[in-house]
Amino acid sequence: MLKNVAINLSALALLAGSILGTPMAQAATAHQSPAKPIVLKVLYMNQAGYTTQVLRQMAAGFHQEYPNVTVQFTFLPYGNMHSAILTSAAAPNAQYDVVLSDLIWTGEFAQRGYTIPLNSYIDADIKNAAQIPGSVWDGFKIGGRIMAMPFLANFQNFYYNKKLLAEAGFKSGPTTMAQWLHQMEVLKAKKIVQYPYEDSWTQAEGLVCDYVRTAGEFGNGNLFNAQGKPVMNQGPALQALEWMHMLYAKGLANPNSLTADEPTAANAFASGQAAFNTNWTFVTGIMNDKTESKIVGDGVVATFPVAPGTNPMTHSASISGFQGLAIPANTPAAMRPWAWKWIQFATSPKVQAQHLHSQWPVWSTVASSAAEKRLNPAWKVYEENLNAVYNRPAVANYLQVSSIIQQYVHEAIAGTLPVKQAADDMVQQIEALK
Amino acid sequence: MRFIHAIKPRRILVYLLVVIVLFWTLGPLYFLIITSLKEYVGTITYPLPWLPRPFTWSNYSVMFSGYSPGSISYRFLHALRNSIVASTATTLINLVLGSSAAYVLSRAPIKGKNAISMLFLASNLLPTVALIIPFYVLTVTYLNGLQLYDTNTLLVIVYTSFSLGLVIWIMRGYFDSIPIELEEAARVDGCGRLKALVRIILPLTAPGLLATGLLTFLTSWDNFILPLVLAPDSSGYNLPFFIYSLNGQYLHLNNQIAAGGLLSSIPPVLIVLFFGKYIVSGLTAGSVKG
Amino acid sequence: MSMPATPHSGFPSRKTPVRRRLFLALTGEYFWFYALLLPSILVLIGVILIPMVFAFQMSLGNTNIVVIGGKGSIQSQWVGFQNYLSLFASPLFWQAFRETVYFWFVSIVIEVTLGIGLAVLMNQKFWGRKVFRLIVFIPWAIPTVVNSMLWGMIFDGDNYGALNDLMLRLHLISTQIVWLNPMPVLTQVPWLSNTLSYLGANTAMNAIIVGDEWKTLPIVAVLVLAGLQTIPHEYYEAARVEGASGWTQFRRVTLPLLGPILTVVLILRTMQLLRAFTMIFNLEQFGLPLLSIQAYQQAFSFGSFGTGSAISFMIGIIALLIAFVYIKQLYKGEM
Repeated sequence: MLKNVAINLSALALLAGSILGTPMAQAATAHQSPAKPIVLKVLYMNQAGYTTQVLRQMAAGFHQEYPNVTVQFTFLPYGNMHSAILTSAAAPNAQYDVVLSDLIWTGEFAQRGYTIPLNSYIDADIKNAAQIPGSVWDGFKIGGRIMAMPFLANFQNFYYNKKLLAEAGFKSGPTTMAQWLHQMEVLKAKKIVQYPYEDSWTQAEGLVCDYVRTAGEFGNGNLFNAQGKPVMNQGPALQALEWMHMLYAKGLANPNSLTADEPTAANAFASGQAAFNTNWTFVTGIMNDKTESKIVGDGVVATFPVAPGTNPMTHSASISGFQGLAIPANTPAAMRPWAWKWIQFATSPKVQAQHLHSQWPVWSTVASSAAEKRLNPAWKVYEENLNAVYNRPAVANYLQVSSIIQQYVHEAIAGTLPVKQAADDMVQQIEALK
Repeated sequence: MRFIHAIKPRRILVYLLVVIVLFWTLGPLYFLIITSLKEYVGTITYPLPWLPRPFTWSNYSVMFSGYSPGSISYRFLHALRNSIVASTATTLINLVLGSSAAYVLSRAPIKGKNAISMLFLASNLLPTVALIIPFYVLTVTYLNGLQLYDTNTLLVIVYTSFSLGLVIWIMRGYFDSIPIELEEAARVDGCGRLKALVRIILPLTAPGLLATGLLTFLTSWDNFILPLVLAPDSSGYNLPFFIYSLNGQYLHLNNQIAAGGLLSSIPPVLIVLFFGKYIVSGLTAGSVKG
Repeated sequence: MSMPATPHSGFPSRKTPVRRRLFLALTGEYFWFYALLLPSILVLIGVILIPMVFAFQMSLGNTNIVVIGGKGSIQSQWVGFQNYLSLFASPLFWQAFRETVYFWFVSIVIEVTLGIGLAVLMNQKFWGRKVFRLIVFIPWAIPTVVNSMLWGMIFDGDNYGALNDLMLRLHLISTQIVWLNPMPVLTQVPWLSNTLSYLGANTAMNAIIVGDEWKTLPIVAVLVLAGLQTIPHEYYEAARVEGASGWTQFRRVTLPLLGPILTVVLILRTMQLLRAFTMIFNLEQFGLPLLSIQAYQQAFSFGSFGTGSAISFMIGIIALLIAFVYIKQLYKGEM
């Protein structure tokens, strides 16, 4: 039904565009190259997600369809992306025509006006918008404005080592939090592993991801309620904090979690020292790679254990790490159509289907295609986790809020502050920010 | 030496301390070297192998082979080039500008030249962080037309500003120690002032020039925060930033990081081994009057 | 040392009228003096003074990046000293201040004591002394980022971190210690632990100090050694004749004469420690909030250039004040 509406709307747009001769009409006609050769500057990261080689392949494919457009990449470490986008926004003319935008920057970029809403482009050119799950769109939507086109559907999976679990007498992974706790305690008591679990709880953005996900496992991963007030000191969010602290205090989580980031946690799992790992999808590749893993064949991808009665629709809870492609607000107007062309190309189902081994596609049609099922036997689990994601708060001052959350969650886990007090202080500080 | 029966325990103590210091100094270096020669699994297993097992040269070869845009060798070689260019340029500029200024401050009876010297020294002592933010803002907005962001040129300008004060301070000490009669004798013989400076005075201050030049080179080579903020792309970034970016991959490839680190350390270590004593004498010349 | 003000040096004396001095300045040999000094003065003004003034200006406003009408710029909304006042009211700022001071103080104390000790050791006569001195100097040459990564691997909180591995093998500890996690120290003595934590001490800070000292102790030791070597033997002889023991000789002869070189060391190291950024940033990102880390975070993560400028301006002022005190002392000593 939505599909029909979308088709009708775009037909209307085409008609209107051809009558009015607006740039929308240009966008609707495919493969029209610019008159003169132009260079499209794209900012992307050189870690995680698609590799630089894959992106250059995409650029080559794009160049074939639009011979007068050359894509020029700038690759930076993820940690420098945000400040690079700020730098570009401060210049009179943007340094980049397309930037990779993490979903946590949506609120900030929308409020400060660093990137432009893409609604008009999407309505005109993306006919099958419904094939991207609503949770993915939500990551980039604020107040109805879509600030970036979904590009990377990164999210977390629940991984366990079936061989270690079998040694402890468990035939399958846990489906509830109580079961999970029990399995960890048995593994530790039987000295099968010293620390059954390691997670990325170092004081960085990854900690907020894990915190939101854990809150989701307890029923609600939204750290701000519908009125926009922070609620970390009540309900599922508070339970999540107590859970994380308990795992650390009982020695079920490796103490190194407090300084571990995602790669380190993945290491612990892939070297067979941890039986459980809650991490991004890249772990699937690592755990079955002979050069990087000692547990080839023993790792299992699963949905997350959840508290009883939680998330009845999805039976799981996960956290999103979506990335989208956005157009800076100070990109010259002449470049914008071509920036959009690149975005449309790179995020298209066709191109994403060519690189299934790199990343999980944002299109559900591609995700449930035969090729994906062949490549990834656990595709159903992936789909369930993706449908169960929570997004981090889409507030304009998210980075400052995140910095406060990181500090207090870290202290709560380590026990330097009592859990309830840390939660209360966290809420108080965040409210003081506004 | 003093009391015969006290020699033995004292000698033993000295040798014991020497051994302890050697362990403390060489231990981490040994660890760095063997880490760079291990395969990845050798860095994350317990018990940790204290010999480079499993052995591989690949961490070094990856820095030089497989050159294609975006590959590790591409980034390493660009960083290496940028480091060499920026450090050398900064050194040369500092030496020319700094020794000229030091000469003037040493010879000319300008009112308040001591104040100026102190100002230069103070500028060297300023924390980088204090200036990095306005620098960034100026470069990106008002001076945007100059297109300096993310270039070696910008880095050289900023490096120079931070090292100049120390160069002037040290070189002034050297110039002060050369009697004015030498210059006057040369000028009586017909040399112009500039000629006298270059032909006669400078060679006498060669140790100072060497010391300050090397110091400038080392501090420029080592700089991290300036490329982090002002030049994070491969057209401008240097080796320290490259090492930092290596840390951000999917996995912490400590063996690769160690290899990159060792390669970045070779020039400064060589400088220190061969010219260390000149650097030290340059730094102490300003304070220890014999 | 002081320059003769006679016409021999080629400069017009102060009694000469200004216009004539200007004329003389632009012609003839005095021209070279100004020409040689000018570039450095320009660098000083353009690259140090102007940014400092600009930083102060930015700190007096809510300075943010805005994009208006498709053009980007940095805009500053004047708020007077509001940024400074809210910093002074913020407990996080004061914690950063205390942690910076702790880092500086502990580092200096370790460097001066161990530095002098190491210099004395290097001054002894023993076989292989020259090679020993060279080896000791090597860590100083390792770039700071490489040093950070190295100690990150050594202090890795998993059991394969070099230090944990050694200590576990020697059975000194039963389970790995997460060195780089900011945990309170000396928890067995609660009141002491709380005081130390207030002052900025924690395991991560101490670990980083150790790693930093590995790299910087050599330069201090080598400088002190140079100072030691200038102390004439006769002083020691005279002291021995008067019956002074080794320790008394050290106190009465060595230490006072090391004064000048120690002053140099203190100045250089204080400035470097106040701007400590690289190692802490690489190992803890924003987890250990020292002043320089906070300034960076405010400006480049949160986009609040006003607050970031305020913090960095304060760091600059503190450093300048300390610098001027030291430098005045240095120049006094020379006159």
